[in-house]
Amino acid sequence: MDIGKESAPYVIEPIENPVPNQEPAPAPEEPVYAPEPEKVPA
Amino acid sequence: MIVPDKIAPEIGWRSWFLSPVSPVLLSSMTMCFLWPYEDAVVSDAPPSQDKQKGIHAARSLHQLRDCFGYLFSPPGMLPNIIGEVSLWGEVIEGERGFRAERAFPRSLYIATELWVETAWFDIQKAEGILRRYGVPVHVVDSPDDIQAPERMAA
Repeated sequence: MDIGKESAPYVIEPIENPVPNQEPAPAPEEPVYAPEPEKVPA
Repeated sequence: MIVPDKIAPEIGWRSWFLSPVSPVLLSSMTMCFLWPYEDAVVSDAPPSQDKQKGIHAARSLHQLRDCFGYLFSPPGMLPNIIGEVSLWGEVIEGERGFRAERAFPRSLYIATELWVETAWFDIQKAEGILRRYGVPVHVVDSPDDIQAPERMAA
């Protein structure tokens, strides 16, 4: 398809997802920290 | 980080067939290219790379008709579907249409008057398949019943 005289390219980043079936991205998981090692009395 | 020039997709018009193989999907008219239900169609290269690249769409119904010579297929041809598409990513706007990096249907239309039942699809089955895209599906009697006032006149 010939779209005729063209503009310069531009970028569109929609704030709403145009794909209705797409599940929202999962929330980032809480970081898991390793428990501090128990202090052993000297 | 790329700062977008716009935050709302462009809206164009396209025409599709239904693919006669499973899974049944919208298929581009001029290329054997399938449109999935759950994800955007992505061009194999940004439109700025080459004049042929990008997902093409007409600016209006009038321009879509000019492109194919009809809106809905005349008798004797496979029945088609027309609809609006959202276009985003890298986009190039032309006098008669758009080329975009990403696209997804925004609304779909079938015309009962011109739907030729095939061994694969009666119109109810076709409508059910289109509803899987999660966008409004309109079954109209004829092309004249399509309501898209502001874009149709463009």
